[in-house]
Amino acid sequence: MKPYRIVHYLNQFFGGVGGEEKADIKPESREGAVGPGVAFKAALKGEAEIVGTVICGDGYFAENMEKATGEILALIAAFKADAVITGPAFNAGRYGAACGAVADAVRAKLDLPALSGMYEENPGVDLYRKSVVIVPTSDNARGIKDAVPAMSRLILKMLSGETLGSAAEEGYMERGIRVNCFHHRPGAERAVEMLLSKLRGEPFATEYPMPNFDRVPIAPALKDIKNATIALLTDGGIVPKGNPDRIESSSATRYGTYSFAGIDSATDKLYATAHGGYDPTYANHDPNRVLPLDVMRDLEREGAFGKLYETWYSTVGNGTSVAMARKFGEEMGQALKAAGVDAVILTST
Amino acid sequence: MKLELHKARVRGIQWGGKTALGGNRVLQVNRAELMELLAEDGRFASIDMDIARPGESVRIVPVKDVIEPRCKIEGSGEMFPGMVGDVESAGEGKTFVLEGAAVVTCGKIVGFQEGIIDMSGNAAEYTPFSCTYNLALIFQPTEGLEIYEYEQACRLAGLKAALYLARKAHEAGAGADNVETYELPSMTESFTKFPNLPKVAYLYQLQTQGLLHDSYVYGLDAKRLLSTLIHPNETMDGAIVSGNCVSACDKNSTFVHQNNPVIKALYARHGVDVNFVGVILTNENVTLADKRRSSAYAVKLASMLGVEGLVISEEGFGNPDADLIMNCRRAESAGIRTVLITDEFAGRDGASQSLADATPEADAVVSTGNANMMIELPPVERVIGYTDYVDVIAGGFSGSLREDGSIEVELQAITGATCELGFNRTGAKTL
Amino acid sequence: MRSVCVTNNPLWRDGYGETEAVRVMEEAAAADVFIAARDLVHKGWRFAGHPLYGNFSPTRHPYRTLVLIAPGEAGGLDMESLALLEQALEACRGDARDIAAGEMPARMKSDFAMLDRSLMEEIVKRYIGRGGSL
Repeated sequence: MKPYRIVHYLNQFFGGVGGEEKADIKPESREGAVGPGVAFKAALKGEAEIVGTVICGDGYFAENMEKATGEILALIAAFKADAVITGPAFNAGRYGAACGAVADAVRAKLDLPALSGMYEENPGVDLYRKSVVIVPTSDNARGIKDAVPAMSRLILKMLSGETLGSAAEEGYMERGIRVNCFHHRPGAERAVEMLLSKLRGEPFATEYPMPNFDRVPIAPALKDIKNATIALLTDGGIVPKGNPDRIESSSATRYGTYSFAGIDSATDKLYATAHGGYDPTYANHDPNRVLPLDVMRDLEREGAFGKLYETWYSTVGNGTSVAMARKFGEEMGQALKAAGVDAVILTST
Repeated sequence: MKLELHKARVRGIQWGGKTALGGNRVLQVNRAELMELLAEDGRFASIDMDIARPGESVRIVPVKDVIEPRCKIEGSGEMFPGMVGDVESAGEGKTFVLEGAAVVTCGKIVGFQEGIIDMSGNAAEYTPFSCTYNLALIFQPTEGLEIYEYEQACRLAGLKAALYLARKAHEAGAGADNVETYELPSMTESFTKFPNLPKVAYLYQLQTQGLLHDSYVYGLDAKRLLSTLIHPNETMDGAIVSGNCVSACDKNSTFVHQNNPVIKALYARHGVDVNFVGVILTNENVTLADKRRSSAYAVKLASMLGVEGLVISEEGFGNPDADLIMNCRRAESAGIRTVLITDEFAGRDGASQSLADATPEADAVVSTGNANMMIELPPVERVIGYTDYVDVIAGGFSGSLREDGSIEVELQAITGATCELGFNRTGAKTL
Repeated sequence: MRSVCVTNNPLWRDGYGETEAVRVMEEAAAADVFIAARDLVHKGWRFAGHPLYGNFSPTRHPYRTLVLIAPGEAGGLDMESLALLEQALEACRGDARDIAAGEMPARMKSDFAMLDRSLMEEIVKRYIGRGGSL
């Protein structure tokens, strides 16, 4: 029996092309396995082999998702692939998003089994877990030795046509999809059993886990807005022209700290958008649309509030990991509080 | 209060000269006699009847209610008290049951509300009523009959037919194959009797939103009730009757009210590892103030009973989820542990939010399945009722009824498929 | 005005045609009714009834009738109503194959209108008033 033909998708770094400076390379193919692809040979046990590798720059993919996906699919198809493995992306956000997108497109458009591997906090997970089988990995490339056997076992199972069991059974990330099943006993009996376990303090497993509650209590309303110091922040990606802090257009890993001192309006001479998730035309034409500095200055002059805080923060809220967003928020919040800011207006898109 | 259910096992059904349960356990039905009884209600332009047996290539649609034939044989109170029986309290003495038989009512009240029962094929395993010998009643209203009248007429006719079958079979000498005894002592006794067993009650939510979304307790519209206590045995004598047709999968038919599986499960373990203290009835009104009133009252009753745990079941989707979650939260805050039974509306792909409401205290939930799951029903040889309504049945969609008679529909359209009393073995898991 | 009813169900004109508190939105979709309610909730109004009444997902029901109570003296946002609204909007995410209101057979549409009216009749009576005689 001829081995199954697998195509491997990698970014510019794992594909051996280069680092961040090569993030803009367009999709290209290589024969056989490249870089981490070589590690799959043993785990695939001769039942499948990586016949080709497609490499694409994370930056190019993030900024040209639809076009890049089409180009990548064409390259994959040219290898007459039976299945596709993308990544593992570990904790690299843009790479994870690209891996998820490619695997999803392979499944939907080429109707081939595809999977990926990522660290649980990778933004690609939240974006694609429902439609793509993602194997959990460690947060850095040292975890490749565990990721490879897990991904190989699963792709072989998918190639054999066997239906995958639950996430817990098979070792992939819970997709959050509910499927029906038949239990041995009617629901009423299961309910009484569950209640007794709960009352006895014994472990029990709920059949429907409630959704995650990450509720932040709302702060009380401002009492005296006329004398309040208000800060203006954005995750709409407005940055000083040239993006001096190189905030990424998606899966941002940083935020910028800038000054409004002496500035009355967010004009296109001073600012532009770095956000890769919306058509930048109108934001670049007049950044006040996303960062309404002009209106804030008007209101400040009119006395609607006390003072506009001089410092402002900006990041790109496009495929941002929850962990990263939480970190930014905590840091910004502490700094603003220490500076005596009373309230914040945070704009988004 | 003690009730004996004398159950005669039905193994067939056919038309016959006299309504009786034959020696071979085949239920004979005198069609003309039953027809005459039902026609006494002048609100029907026509009544049709048909029979559907397990395994036959038969589909019944649109189903309004399902009722188990039962009648009182001893003791005070009548079957379906306040509806076709007198209002005196029921639930004690002896009740005769034609086990394995069911009356199924079909009516074009509104085209889309009711459900499907397939007696064979893959959809059959999702409805409990593919296993019962069904007498289907198909009603046509008189011209211009007001919809509230039509709904009531259908409801009462189903109950009358169920009572008729049981009474006639019993009078003709049908004997019970087995007797089940249900006895719960008075509150005082139950508090002292099993001191080491956890005290548990059942909080029974009833659908009460309005026309075609109602439930009746002793003939009273449950919408109007303050949460109250009921003895579990009373449910076995039809004290709770369904006026709810929406949606087919999780509306509680009168049949499941009569055969409440939570009550059955608690009784089974009463005195063994649980002290089943009682049942609290509550409703699911749309008005928020009513929800709060009923919920507060129900949990207060539970506190007054001193229970440690509550099994809570709901009926319906959307705003009933709010009642379920509210009851859970209040009970847990009052120190009462809860387990909830509910179905899910997780979307056809299973990826949507299953419930309309949620709370971290709801850490023990039994799921009766995703009602949005797609299912393919094969064409059948015979349809009882009307198929032209399937496209517009809840869970159907444009084009779901195909020319060859096959149907592509959500589980939502199958009668009793995701019953939130936990009647079935269906469930769901996360992939 | 203590309470208001926003709806896209023309049946409400029966008996409430002259009632200012009952606003029948002409040719609007159920989603538009939710948006109108949302705008009121943001201004401090709160729901009298649960917005997800009836047992259908709101995507399958062409009509929506919502009754809201005016903000109190203290003003401020009613968090419960906001949460209910968010839940309702979440439930509004439908499936492409659901029957669009426009494609619904007339009989089905009128059934929905009648049901919508009857399910909300009590709340409207309680919070708005009995309406004019039919």
